[in-house]
Amino acid sequence: MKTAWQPEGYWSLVALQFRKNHVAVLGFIVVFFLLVIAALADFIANDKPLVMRYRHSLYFPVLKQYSVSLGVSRWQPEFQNISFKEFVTANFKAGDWVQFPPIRYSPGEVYLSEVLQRPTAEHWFGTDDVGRDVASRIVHGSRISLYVGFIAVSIYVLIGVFVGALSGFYGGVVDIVLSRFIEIMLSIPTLFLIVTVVAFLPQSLFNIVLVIGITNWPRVARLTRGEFLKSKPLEYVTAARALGASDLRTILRHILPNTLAPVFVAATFGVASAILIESTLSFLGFGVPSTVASWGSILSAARELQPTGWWLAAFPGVAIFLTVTSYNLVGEGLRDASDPRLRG
Amino acid sequence: MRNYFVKRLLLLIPTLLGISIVSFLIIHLLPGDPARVKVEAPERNQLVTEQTLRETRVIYGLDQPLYVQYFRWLKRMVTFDFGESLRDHRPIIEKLKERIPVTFKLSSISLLLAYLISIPLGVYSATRQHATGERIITVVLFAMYSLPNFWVATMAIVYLGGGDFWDVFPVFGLASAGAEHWSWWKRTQDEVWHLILPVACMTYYTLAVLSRYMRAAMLDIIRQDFIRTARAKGLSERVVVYRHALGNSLIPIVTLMGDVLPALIGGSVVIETLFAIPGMGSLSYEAVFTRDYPLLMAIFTLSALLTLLGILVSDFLYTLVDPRIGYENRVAT
Amino acid sequence: MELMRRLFAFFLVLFTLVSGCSHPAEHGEGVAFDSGQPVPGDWAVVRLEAEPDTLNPVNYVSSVAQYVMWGAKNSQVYELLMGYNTKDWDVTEPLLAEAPPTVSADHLTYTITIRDGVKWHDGHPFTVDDVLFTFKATACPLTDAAAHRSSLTDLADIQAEGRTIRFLMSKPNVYNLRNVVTNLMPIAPKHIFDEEGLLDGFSYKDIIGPKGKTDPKIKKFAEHFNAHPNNRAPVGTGPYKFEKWDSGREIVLVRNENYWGKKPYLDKIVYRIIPDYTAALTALKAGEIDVQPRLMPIQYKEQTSGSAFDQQLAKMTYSIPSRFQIFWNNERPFFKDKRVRQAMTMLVNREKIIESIRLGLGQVVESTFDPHGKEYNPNIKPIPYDPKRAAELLDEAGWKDHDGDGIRDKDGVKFKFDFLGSTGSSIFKQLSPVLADEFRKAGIEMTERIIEFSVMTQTLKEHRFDASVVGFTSDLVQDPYQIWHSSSAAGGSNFGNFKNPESDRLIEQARLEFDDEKRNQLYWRWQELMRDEQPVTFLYYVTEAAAYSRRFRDVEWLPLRPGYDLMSWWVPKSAQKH
Repeated sequence: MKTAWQPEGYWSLVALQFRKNHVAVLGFIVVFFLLVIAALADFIANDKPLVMRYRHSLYFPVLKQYSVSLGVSRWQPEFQNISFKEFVTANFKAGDWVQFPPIRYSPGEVYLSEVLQRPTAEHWFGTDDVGRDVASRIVHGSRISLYVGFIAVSIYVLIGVFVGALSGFYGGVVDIVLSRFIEIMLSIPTLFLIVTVVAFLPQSLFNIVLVIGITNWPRVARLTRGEFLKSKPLEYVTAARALGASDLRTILRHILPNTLAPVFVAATFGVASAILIESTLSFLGFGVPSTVASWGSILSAARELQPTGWWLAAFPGVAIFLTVTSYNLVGEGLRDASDPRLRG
Repeated sequence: MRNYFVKRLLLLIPTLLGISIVSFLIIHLLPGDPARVKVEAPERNQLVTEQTLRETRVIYGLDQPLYVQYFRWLKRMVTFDFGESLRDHRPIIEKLKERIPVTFKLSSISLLLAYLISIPLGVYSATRQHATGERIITVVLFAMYSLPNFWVATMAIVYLGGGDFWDVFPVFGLASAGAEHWSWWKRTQDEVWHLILPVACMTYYTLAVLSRYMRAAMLDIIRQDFIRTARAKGLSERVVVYRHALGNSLIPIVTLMGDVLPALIGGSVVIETLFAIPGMGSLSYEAVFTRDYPLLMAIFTLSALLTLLGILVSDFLYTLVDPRIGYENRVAT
Repeated sequence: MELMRRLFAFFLVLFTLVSGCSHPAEHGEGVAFDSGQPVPGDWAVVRLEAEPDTLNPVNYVSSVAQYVMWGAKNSQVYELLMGYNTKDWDVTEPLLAEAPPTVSADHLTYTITIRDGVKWHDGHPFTVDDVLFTFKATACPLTDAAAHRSSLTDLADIQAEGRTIRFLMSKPNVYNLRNVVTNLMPIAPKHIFDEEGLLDGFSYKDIIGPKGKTDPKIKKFAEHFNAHPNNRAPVGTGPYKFEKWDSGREIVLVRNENYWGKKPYLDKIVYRIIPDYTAALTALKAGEIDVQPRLMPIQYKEQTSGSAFDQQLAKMTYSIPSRFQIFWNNERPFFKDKRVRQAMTMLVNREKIIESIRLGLGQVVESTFDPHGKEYNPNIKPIPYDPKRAAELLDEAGWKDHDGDGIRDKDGVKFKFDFLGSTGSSIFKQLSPVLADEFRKAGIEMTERIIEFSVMTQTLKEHRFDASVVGFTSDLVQDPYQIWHSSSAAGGSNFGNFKNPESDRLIEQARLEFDDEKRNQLYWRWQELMRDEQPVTFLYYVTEAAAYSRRFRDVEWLPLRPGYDLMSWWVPKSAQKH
């Protein structure tokens, strides 16, 4: 028999509260949409067809590419290293058909005869300075943004919260030592840290993420420490201790959830700022290799050409804006929704 | 409490020393060295003999073992002698004297504006949480915040700098040609006009970030019991917000203030390069690429000192903002 | 009738004169030709892309320092012994020397008589001691002049008396004249840099000997010299005097009213330091600077046209001895075979690259020599872009896809290599995807490797790379020894490890061939060899674009960096701005 009152779990409460915030829900939808695009990027923009019927056989080149890169299979000799578009024009006869993805260009396909073209039916977002299709780069760039945003932020939030919590909770010698360590990290100018990492490690996407992670955790640590210092003398902590809660339990279950507000804000800003930092690194010359299509590097390359090539700046700019705003809305929505004091 | 801060001040010295050693090691471990940079640019296709490289290293004092070089540097630093820059043998103190005031001007105005605007903005955002006005502000702030500053700066230069579009602002430097002959008033006006674009480009991002932090912190506090108590007591909204809530919500702002001191002489290499402003940002950038060891050490040391002081100040400010914070280990056992 | 014929003849002569002055440098639109008599007055505000490291003529390294100190024609604030003559761009125009040097029969001694009556900007007379001092200061191992000291390795001794100075070389080399005697050494004032005469007691030989490192007087001199206040306030003999250096902002030069030669017309030259290209073009259009000597290709093509632009500004292109090439590391298994190297060149669509990436600002030159010089062999046709033939050559050389994975291989080695570039190199960022795409279609896999700019040269010299793109800027005439001789693979610029005995022989012979005709024959033969060997792929020879205010007349653009020489520019009274 159902009772009138059902005990609800913490997260379903949060979800309910979140749903009431319409703007945040909008943000969530956009984030979800971006995740989908990132996952299906190869099926949205690719120079290989989704499905092709050639000489009475059915082929699935996009899927085949996955298995080839995994090392599981090899391309048929007639499809090795070719441009499928050219292949189709040259070899198709009656009875053959092909279905390309909606954007029929790969992010790395270069066309020196179609450099810096405005948006047309063929290239929806125009082309860049070596003739690559911008729409395709934006679609594939969503992966990079996700990667940079989430991984970089995860690195530094985890480290920062951990160090900051310990420092703020224990105080005394622990605080003194850990704080000095934080101070040393903070004292080294960011630019120098970047150059050092770049000098020792080859320039790659992961190393950019590493750099962003290393340069940002001290700030989060200080924020967390500040919050812990504030919370430690409060009654509920004393109560928990009196009830026999261990240090770890006190930290994790009692203090941390209440002090996460600024950390949440830092994390959501962080995802967005990671994307921006990547972009500034490209501007300074330390960005991702040119084989990787990131929104930041497109924007940075577009900068020099202005005012020519507005499409090179507008589209990545809009993409970054949408992504950043959505993440922030979701982050703030989550923060608001998980705050028990805001309910009712 | 006082003991704690005296202890902290004294701790500054060994910390600085530790930082200087770490910095020294990193700087010297970087591949390449100033002698090579001086003597080889890929553009020059000259046969450079090992001998000339060696001679240059002697001139730069790089022929000594690392610890000797470090102690020489330390000895000089104790007398506040920063040494000579390897690039042009000018005393580093001269270069710093030229550039720090420029960066200080830009950064201080920028930070002041950012804090002045963001705090009320954050308060407003928190107290009028669901009003349409607030929503619009949120979106605008997010927009401002999603644009990289090299991008905004370039747009400003191209569209407002007098190229093919509007000519509203001057686009390089901090003074017009011949400005040194003008009256004080005209010079100041001219400088303000030159400062507007770079300062705006430096400020908007910090502004957006700070105001969101402010909002989050305010929201947190406003729902707490002691605020409800204050309201129940019949205090006006303004008193509630500004006297009771604001203080507590300033904690994260105060934390971030730890960054302010070093930022005053840090400078932004992006803004300085784009607007041709000779400040500390471009000096540091150049120092890294030319491996100008003494200059790098000087910049590091100054920056470290200011960072440590900034952190100390912000820790001190915590106690003012929230008297319950103590630094003694008071966890009940 | 008579009048008509005379008029016709006049215009015919005028036309021939104007078109006959065909210059390797000046091809452009909007050349301002003279309309009236030159008058003095006005300033030129020129953009400088970086701040000079120092204005010491012996210790400087940055090229912008050179632009300020003696410009393109060897005479601005400081002067050299000889300058370029504008007919054939040879260094045969006497400046501080009275006449071109005389050479001894064994080509080991060069004798120069210096010009009489020249004064330094502070009134002191210019003497032969200044020349001797300049060389001593450069050769001294304790001055921070290593960048220039290397060019003096073959100089054994200098003797000076009266107004004559004699350079004694240790070995004959046709390039001694340019490298040592006339081209690289701007003359520095002894009375300024060595007030106490510390170097007087030492001969040139002493300085390059062991005493040079240990003698306390020399040490004292060197320390003082390296940090000398006049490094920021040069005193020279040239047509422009130094006025001020506003650190990070601008450098101002003012006309030298007591110049020994023909005085320039512009009262002042103001160098404004603006690193960013976009900001520089905006400043030009807003009238805040007058001359922008280096435009980006996109700016030249798209952003410098239209009626508003044409009313005030003009633009031109000029070529400079600067070239980009792809170095293949000849020691790597794939690049050992010259057929593979030829194939790689055939896979690079150079014409297309110039058209689309440089937007036309460049030319394909299948040679290391400047195409306007006599050493250049015009009969050599560049290797065409031909992927089919490239595939054939690769097959011939044994590089086939034996294991069916789409990548060529041979003896178990896959044709996979790294393309090395430095941070911030825009040519690398644009070239790399183009090449990767083209190579992949040919069954070659190329990946990127980016390292920091400051360590690039070292990595190249130590041959720790597979392939890389490098830009070189040189003099109009350059000894190929530096880059192409096998001994230069150990510390020189022979990054690609190219070792070919025939090439070595030709280079060595040419150095000792003092007859111009015969030497050029050797070089022509050498270029044929190089075309066959393809140790590098020559990408393009740089054409620069510039824009400047229309109010200047007699604007000369030169085929040498920085590309302009302000000596001849003037502004009609009615148009003068300052």
